[in-house]
Amino acid sequence: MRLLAALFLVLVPIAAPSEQVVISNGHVDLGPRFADGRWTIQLRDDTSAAPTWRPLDTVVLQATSRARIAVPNDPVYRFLGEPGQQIWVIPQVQQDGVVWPGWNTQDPEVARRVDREVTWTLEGVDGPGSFTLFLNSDFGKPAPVFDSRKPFPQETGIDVNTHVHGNWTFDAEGIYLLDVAMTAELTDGQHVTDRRTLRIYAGDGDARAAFALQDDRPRTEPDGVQLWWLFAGAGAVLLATAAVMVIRRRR
Amino acid sequence: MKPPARWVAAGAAMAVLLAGCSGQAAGGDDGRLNVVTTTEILADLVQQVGGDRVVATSLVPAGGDPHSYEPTPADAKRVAKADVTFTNHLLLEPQSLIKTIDANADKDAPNVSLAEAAESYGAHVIPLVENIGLDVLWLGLRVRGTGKARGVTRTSSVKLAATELDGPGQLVAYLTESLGQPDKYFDSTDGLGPADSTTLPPAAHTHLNWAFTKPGVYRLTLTGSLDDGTPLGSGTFTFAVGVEPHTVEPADGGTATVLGDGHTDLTVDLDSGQVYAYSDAHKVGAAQSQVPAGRVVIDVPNKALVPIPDDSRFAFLGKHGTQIHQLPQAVLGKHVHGEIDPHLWEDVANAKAYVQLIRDTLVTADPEGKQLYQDNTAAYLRQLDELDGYVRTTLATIPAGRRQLITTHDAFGYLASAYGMTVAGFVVPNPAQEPSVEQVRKLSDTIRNLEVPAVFTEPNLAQRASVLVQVAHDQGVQVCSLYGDSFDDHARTYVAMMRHNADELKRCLGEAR
Repeated sequence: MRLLAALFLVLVPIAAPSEQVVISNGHVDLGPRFADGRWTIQLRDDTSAAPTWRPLDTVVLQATSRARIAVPNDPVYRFLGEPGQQIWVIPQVQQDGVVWPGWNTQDPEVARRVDREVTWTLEGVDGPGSFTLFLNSDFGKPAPVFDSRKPFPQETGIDVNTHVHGNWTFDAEGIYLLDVAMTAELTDGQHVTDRRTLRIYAGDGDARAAFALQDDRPRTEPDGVQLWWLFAGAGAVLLATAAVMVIRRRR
Repeated sequence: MKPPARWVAAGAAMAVLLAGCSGQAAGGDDGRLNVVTTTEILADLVQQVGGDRVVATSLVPAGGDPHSYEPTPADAKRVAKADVTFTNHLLLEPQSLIKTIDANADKDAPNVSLAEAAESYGAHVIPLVENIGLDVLWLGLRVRGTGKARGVTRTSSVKLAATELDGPGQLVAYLTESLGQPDKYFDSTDGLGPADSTTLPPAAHTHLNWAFTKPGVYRLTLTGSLDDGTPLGSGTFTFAVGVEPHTVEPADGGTATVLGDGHTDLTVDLDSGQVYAYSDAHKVGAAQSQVPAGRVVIDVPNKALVPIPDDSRFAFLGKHGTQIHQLPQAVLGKHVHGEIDPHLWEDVANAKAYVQLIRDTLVTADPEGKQLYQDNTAAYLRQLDELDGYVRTTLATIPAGRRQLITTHDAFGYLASAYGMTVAGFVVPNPAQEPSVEQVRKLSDTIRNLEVPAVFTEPNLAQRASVLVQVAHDQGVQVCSLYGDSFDDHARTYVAMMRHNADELKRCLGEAR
């Protein structure tokens, strides 16, 4: 399984956008874009030679043991756990060998059409432990953005045409499904929203297992999206099968 | 959090369709349309559009401060009798005032929150800045290009070294890691040497804190090389720390490009070997641009003043409590999610958007007056165009190095944005707050470092201006006046108030007499 994961990393630069990939190193951004004219949360993947926007259900981000760190003995970090406890922290600043996920509203059409800001909502988290996302600035005082132990939904704003990074933390090994929504008013008065699942794997195990998991908590979709999801899902399954076959052949 | 502005606007549009059947005429005591607004400025705009068919009055009395106004039971009665009500936006008016209106206004009477609804009429809205210390340039380091011609691969690394610093104090560029641990990149306090460097892979960038121990002009030379020692190039960047950046010459003496907002990386280019600033102009859709190091002046404004924390990990910056200028490694969180700066009218173009929204709302409430409202609006919009031109040409005469605004409260962001001024500081963001000791000290440092010729108080906030007046007197700086949220006896209309603002800015900041 390790080998398979490693193979995938090598494959990333030539991967087609709908192929399933596990990304455990390099820069990616979560963000909205107009995919075929439809406001859609996707993942911008800068780990390949040319940046690629990937559908969320084709990506797992993996925080490997390179992201393991002990909770410091500092009261302001107690929200991460007991001092000395080992957790996974994907840092705000790029760390060699660790995936570097940010979020942006810089897709040119998004930058042009969104009025002021995008509202990013965390609707729920399904995972073996706690997830937090926080920012820290000059003197190391953490500013929480999301915390899976708090009531949902939780929301934050992203100014239009900006690009931000934060610290993503996980305190138990395994698969985390983040149920996220991004909403905006467009300059022409239209209201757009999309809701998807972002898959993150904390640990060195088989991150691809996350592809099989669906977030089954009840959700409200905007009209018309359900059917579209079905088609996209079917397409993804077909493509995933194709991808696995390609890899088998290479081995 | 958002007021139901759009909702109200939609309701207004529907009412236009229905009004024809209702046959209800204007409803003031004397047959005129009775319009209640929160502030005098809004009442004036309504009166200009409404002319003889309308009586517009404000709840906040003449010279009152809308930020801290407490509504009375009499206000509730006036609202209940109104045919139309206009508010500006939450954060100008306190919640109690908005509630009084929403709870008492006749359900059939249009109740319009102007600031947000005016966006569809072309109003330009600025997000509310929560932390002014974050409203500064976001400065990082970057490696660009592939370096193929030099045999660089994805596994190569590039060294960026601080090789020379000239300035009145010291520079420490450091990164605070995820769990609060600082990591120094460049530190001039013990001289610059081999340790004052960092390595980045090709096509990478990073963000740092840039701390300066004293105000003044600094010149920093950055040198890039490959990991095998092959030199790439070097360049000298200029930092205007606490001083007016437009008065500072760049390192090569040519025309300066002042970088003061958005995101900029000090960059080494693997292909050209050049060192330059790679900057987004912070204009939506605009491409990032390269500015040669020798032409760059980086603005480190007094907004960036912070006290060194009482934390031994940061003792390398100096004694705790000492003020330093610091561009922070992350500037997110500077805006309050979902909230806007409510002082839109300080940009005349926004007043024009208000006026058109007011026109359409009055037509909804009183369709028989349609022609009059349209004619009055057309005439008033021409007057506002003239006013906009007057403010623009008047402020254009103020030299670039003297365009700094220091005021009692944060009401002039739109004026600055529309007419090329800079908000250098204010006593408190909102006049309903008391300044802290640290805010007063920062204000004092700002006035001293910038050597501004004048500071500005607002006529209706005279009793709140004592701090600013005291600081100005201590430093021998002129105290002038600007209208923010209210009129006084000298300015009874919006046009008069904006003309005063333009004339006063020119009188107090223009060429030394």
